[in-house]
This record gives sequence, structure tokens and C-alpha cells, in this order.
Amino acid sequence: MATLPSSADPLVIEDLTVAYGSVTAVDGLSLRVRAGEIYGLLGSNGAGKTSTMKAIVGLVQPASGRIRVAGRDPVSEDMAVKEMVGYVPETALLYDALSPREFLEFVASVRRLRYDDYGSLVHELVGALQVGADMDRPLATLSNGTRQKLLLVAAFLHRPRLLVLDEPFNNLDPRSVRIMRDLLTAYVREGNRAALFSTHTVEVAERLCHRLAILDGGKLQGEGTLAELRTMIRRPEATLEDVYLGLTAEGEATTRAMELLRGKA
Amino acid sequence: MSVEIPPASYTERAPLGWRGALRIAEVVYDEFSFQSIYALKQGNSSVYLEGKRGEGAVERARRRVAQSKAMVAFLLFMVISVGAIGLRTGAGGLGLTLTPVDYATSLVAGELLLIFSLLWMTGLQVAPTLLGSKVFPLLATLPLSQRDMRRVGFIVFLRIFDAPALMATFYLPLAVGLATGSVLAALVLLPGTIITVALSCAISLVTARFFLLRVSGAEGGTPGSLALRWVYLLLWSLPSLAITAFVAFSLQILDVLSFWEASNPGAFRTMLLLYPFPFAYLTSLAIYPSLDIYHLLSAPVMWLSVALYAAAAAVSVHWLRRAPVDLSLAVPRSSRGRRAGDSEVRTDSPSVAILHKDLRIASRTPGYAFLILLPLLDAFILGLSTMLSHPDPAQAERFAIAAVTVAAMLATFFGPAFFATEVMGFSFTRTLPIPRRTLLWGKASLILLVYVIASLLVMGLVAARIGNPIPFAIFALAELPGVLAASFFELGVLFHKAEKTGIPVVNLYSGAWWAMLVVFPGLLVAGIPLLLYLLGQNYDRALAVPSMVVSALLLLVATAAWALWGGRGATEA
Repeated sequence: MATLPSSADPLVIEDLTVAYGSVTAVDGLSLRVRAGEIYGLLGSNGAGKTSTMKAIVGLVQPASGRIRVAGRDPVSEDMAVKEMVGYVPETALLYDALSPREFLEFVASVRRLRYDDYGSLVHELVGALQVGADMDRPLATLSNGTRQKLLLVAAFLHRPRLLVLDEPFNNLDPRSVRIMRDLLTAYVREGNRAALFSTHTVEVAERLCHRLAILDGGKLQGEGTLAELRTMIRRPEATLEDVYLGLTAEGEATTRAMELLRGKA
Repeated sequence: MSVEIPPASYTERAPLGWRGALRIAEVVYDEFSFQSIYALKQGNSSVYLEGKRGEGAVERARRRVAQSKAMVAFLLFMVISVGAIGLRTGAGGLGLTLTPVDYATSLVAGELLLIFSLLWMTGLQVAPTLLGSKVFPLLATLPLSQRDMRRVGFIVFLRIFDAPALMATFYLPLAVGLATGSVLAALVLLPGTIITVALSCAISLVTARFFLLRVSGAEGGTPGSLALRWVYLLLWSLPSLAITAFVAFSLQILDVLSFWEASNPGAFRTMLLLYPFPFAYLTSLAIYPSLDIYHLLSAPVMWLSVALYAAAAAVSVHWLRRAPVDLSLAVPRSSRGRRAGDSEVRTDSPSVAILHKDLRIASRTPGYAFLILLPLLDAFILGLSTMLSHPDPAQAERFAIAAVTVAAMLATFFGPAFFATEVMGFSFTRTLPIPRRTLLWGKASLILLVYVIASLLVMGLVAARIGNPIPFAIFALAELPGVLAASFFELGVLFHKAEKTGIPVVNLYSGAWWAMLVVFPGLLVAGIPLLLYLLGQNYDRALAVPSMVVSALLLLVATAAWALWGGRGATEA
């Protein structure tokens, strides 16, 4: 296993650009996630959240810019970065023919984990998320929620330095959301850990994240704590939803959509 | 914020009719082709379709599916043509004592059986994807009547088979007519080929559904449940087994039929009850009209069978008109009320975990299991047929070596497809710390495992027949580095490509053309040691095995160095 520099920030992104052909998904994004922090990426569909996360875990190559995970480069030191990161993709695309037990065995094996390291954690998570009854059923036959829970268990398995969670609460029942929220909050408090968390649900971001970045059209529109973001729009009493609509073009788009639905257009 | 939205006005829609169903089926079929080719639901899309390669992806998918169907149709063309040549040559040309009627019956029956097996095999490769692709559940949310939905489903299902089915339906009667000069024979055979196509389409869907429930969707992680799934998969391989067995044993089958006819004509006649003999017999009577008492006595049995199979085909077509949609929309079993099981999770070394995962995936993926079972079954059947037909031990040993050579070639041939499982969860797997060499070792182990088991099967036959399997074992061991070298070469090429774009190799049907580009150089790598062995046998027998071993080892060193340590792999810790 790679030796990890503990002093470096869990995640530093500088001037990141991700492009698919002529389409620029992320445009000059810079941000820093500190140890002990849950950092939220808030934005509508197509804002660049998923592309940013894919670049961090090595699923897409940045067109330009720099990413460092605990001081390591995901492009030239991909194995070291993968050792440190736990990733939950936006869509639970897995080996459908495997059962949850077989899938977790595969992930634990390729991560070279010892049973002592993960056994009790798996037991607790599987029990808390109520996946136990489905451990031997093929993933293809399971609900999206159960698959999502399994991805969350797999992401925690090796106690990663950085959790990269792309809409991780999609399809989860309220009870599981609560459990995962508490777990995540407790998890980042120890061991120089942090989590990058994307969502388009304002309430989740408001409750969970220490700091937030608001993305729109691949660009950073604002960054900071909720208080700092309120200052940016000069409305001290504003909710995160107000801040979000204030910083993006969506406030205007929403008003326009309402007018169309009322038949005023 | 409250918004008042005026209600939309709805009007009763007229039924689509066949023309409307055709139009929708066009879209659904494109979607199904796209999912088959790019394994969209398995996660390859995000890797493969981002960037410029995304442009024209649907058109590429459409083209590749058409190419794959053209390949199956061409294979049928070849098989039918060879049969027609055999029909023209006659039993005498093969040194057989069958009467012309029985020879023609056997040959046409064999052709029909091959068509049936090939279409069944093609259907089995694709029908599970269709049933699991979610295209119909999506369609069910649209304002279409059940009847229209079923029409669309029926058309889409037929399109899986269109070119091969048309080739089988019309070319066999045409080829038989041309070979025998009998227009009547061609006309009489036409209903037989139509019934064959209908029955094979129906059995494809029945077995696809069965395997979705009992294999793909089967619960249980115990060794017992895993073994049971492999038993089902052996049954699944029967169509391909039938093709191989028929080709391997064709002369023996004709021999047995000759003996049977001479010794017990009554029993021979009862065979006319079994598909596909009644259609073949009818055709041969059209070629050789006869008022022989034996044929006159057989006629009622034959007509009864024809009527029964025609009725079965009609029922099949009726069922197929609704089954693709009904089966796709069937509600899966609920897990409610199930007790929580234990959550124990064990680990292996990374390479063994990859091998283990692949075998588990194969145990629930018929298309993938087929690639593992086919070399084993083929080696076994070829070994068995040659052992039985060559009483001289020296000759039998030579044929055993040939059987293992076939196993080596087949294991190498299907090697690229073993990479296909990585495509299934590719977007997730790429985020795991799996170095290239670990992944390659895991995959190469699977190819090697197939080759070793095939060799052991043939070795068992050799031991039973000859008693001294050592020369054969030396040969099998000497070829082992060659097989490994070929797998490293093929998987290395695929891995390089996967690092850049992802691989759309999903199954034989959808990814055949692309796989061929990797397979042929791979076969050459595996074939060089075998070629040197053959040359050694002809020039200096003492050099045959050593030259094979040395060349295989050299190839292994070269391909392993390139695949395991070349390029980006060198930087991986």
C-alpha cells in the first residue's frame, strides 16, 4: 500500500478544466477541501459536479489544471490515489451478476484488506442499512436503493482518506439517509479525513456540509460556509436555496418556467 | 410558491396498427442494439461515449448489429452449401451404404438440426439482453395499448433473427432444389424450414427466460448453488454442443443409420416421429418418388409428425406475438419477509479475486459461461469421437493431440471476450486500485484454466483408451506457455484500448467483428509453437517438442514483458 503524506490537504483542485470534445463540462475550477470537512458541490444537472468527481477518481482526464489528493496526482500516481479514495458514483453501475457479498469480497480483495480491518465495519453497516437479507441475491434483482447502499458500504470499506460521493443519497429511504449523514459527519472528524459531496438537494447540503461550492455551467459561482455565501449575495437571512438561486442563472429560469406553465408566454 | 396549471386535454387514441408498430419497433430496436453494443446498463457508456466518440454512436451500434447478423447468415450459407454439395455427391461418394432416400433424409435432417441449433444459439446470446434491457418497461409508460406493445415486441424480437432466419428459410430449399434438380423438393422443404425457424425462435425465448430466472437471477453464494448454476449452464450449451457433435460425428451418425435401417426398418421408421426427420423424409421422397411398400407404410407416420410440428410452430408463433413484452414486464420476486443473512465477507489475493469474480459472473451469465464451456466441450467431443473411431493407439494419440490443439485455439479465440466482464462495471472498477498486471494475470488465469481443464479431459480419454498419457501430457504442457503468451498479447491490446476508450465487446453477437481484430494475431501467437511441433514431426521428431517449448517460452517472455510491464504499467506500484 502506498505511503500517504498526512500533512497535505485531502483535496486541492487548481484551475481544472474537463472537456468532452467541444463541450466544456468544468471550466477553470479551483477549490480546496481541508481535513475534517464535508465539502458540498451544489449545482443543477450539467453544472460540472460529476465531471469534477470523475476527474478526481481518474475516470476522465482533465484537459488542463491540477488535482492533488493528499498531495498525489490522480493521473501520474493513479494507484496511490485510488488507495486513498472511496467513491460512490452517481448511478449504481455494478457487476449485475454478482451478489452484494461477492461484490464486497471482490472490492476488499483488490484493496488487499484483512478481515480484521473491515469485518466489523461491514457487519455494522450491512445491519444498519438493512442489506443483510439481500446479501446473496444478484445485484440485477435488487432495487436501486439497495445498490446505492452497497456502494456506500464499499466506499467506506478501506477507511479512505477522501470520500468522493456523487449524489450518494439518491434512492435511499429517509432512515438510511439519516444513518449515512450521521456516519459521514462522525467519519470525517478523525484521521485527517474529508468528504467531497455532490448534490442538487439544497436541504441535504445545508444540513451536512461544512463548506459549499456552487457550480453553474461548469464554473464556480461562489464558495464558502453558508454565512460567507449569504454575505456574497448581501442577504444575511437568506436560505441556501436563496443563495443558490441568487448565484446561478436558475432563479431567472425558474421564474420564466412558471410563466410558461401559467400560459403567459 | 403555488402555481395553477390549466389541465391538458386528452383524446382517445386510435390503435397503432402494424404500420405504427413497425415505426416504434424501429426506435426500440435501435435502443436495444445500442444497449447490446455499448453495454449501456453496465456502465460502459460513460467511458465510451464521452468526447468525440459519442458522435455517431447509435449509427455504429446499428451497423455492428447488422454485421453480426450478416456473419451468422454467412455461416448458415456455408453450412447449407456444404450440405448441398454432399447431397449432390451422394452416399456412394462418402463410401456409405445408405439408400438414396435415407441418405437424403439424414443429410437434410442434419441441415435442419444445424439451422435449429445455430438460431437457438444466436437467440440465446441476445434474447436475455432483450428481456433484461428495460426497453419494454420504458415503453409501457407510454400511452400504448397492450396489443400495440405486443406487436412492437414481436417485431423487435423477429429483427434479432431477420438475416439468419431469411437465409435459413429460403436458401436451404433453394440449395436442395439446385443440388437435386427437384423443384418439388424445394417447395416441400420450405414449410420445414419455416417451422424450424419458428421453433428455434420460441425455444430461444423460453430458454432465455429460464436462464434469467434460474441462472442470472438465482440466489445463493454457497458452493452447492454455484455448482447447480454451472449444471444449468451446461444445459444452456446444448445447442452449440449439438452443432459440434453433429459436425464431429456426422459420418458415424450416417454409419449408425445405415446399420439401423438394415437391421430394424420398423425402429428406423419411428424416427420419423422425431423432429426434424419428417420434413427431411418428405423432402427426400420428393427427390426420389417411390411406391415402395416401406415408404408407403412410413407415409402416415411422417404426415402425422409434420402436422404435429406444424401445430407446435403455430402455437409458438402465437406465443411469440406476446411473449417478448409479457416476459420483459414480468414482476420480479420480492425480497419482503426474507430473514437477514450473515454479513461475513472473505478475501482472496487480487488476481485470484478477479478470477473468482469472473467465474461467479459467468455462473449467472449464460453468454459468458458459454465461452468457458465451449472449448471444454469441443475438446471432449473431438477427443471422444477420435478415440472411438480410431482403434490404433498411435493414431488415437495423434488425434488426442489434435483435440487439445483445438482447445488451445478455442481458449485463445475466446480470450478477448473474457475481458468483456470488466466492461460491465467498468466505470466503478476503474476507481479501484487494480494495477494492469493484476488484472491481466486474473484474466490470463481464466484462459489458462480453460486450457488446462480441456487438456485434463482429453488426457482422461487418452488414459482410458491408450493407457499411457505421458507423451500427450508433455505436449499439453509444452503448449501451455504458448496459450499464456497469446492471452497476454490479446488482453494487453484490449487493456491498452480500455485505458483510452473502454471496450464495447459485450457478447459474440454484438462485438464479434471487433474481437476478430485481436483474435487473429492472438491465434498466430498460440499457433507458432504448434506449427514448429508439426514441422519437427515431419523433419526430425526429436526436435518437435523442444522447438515447441523454446518458441512458446520466447513468445511468453516477449508478450508478458510488453503486456505486464510496458507503457503505463511500469509506473504502477
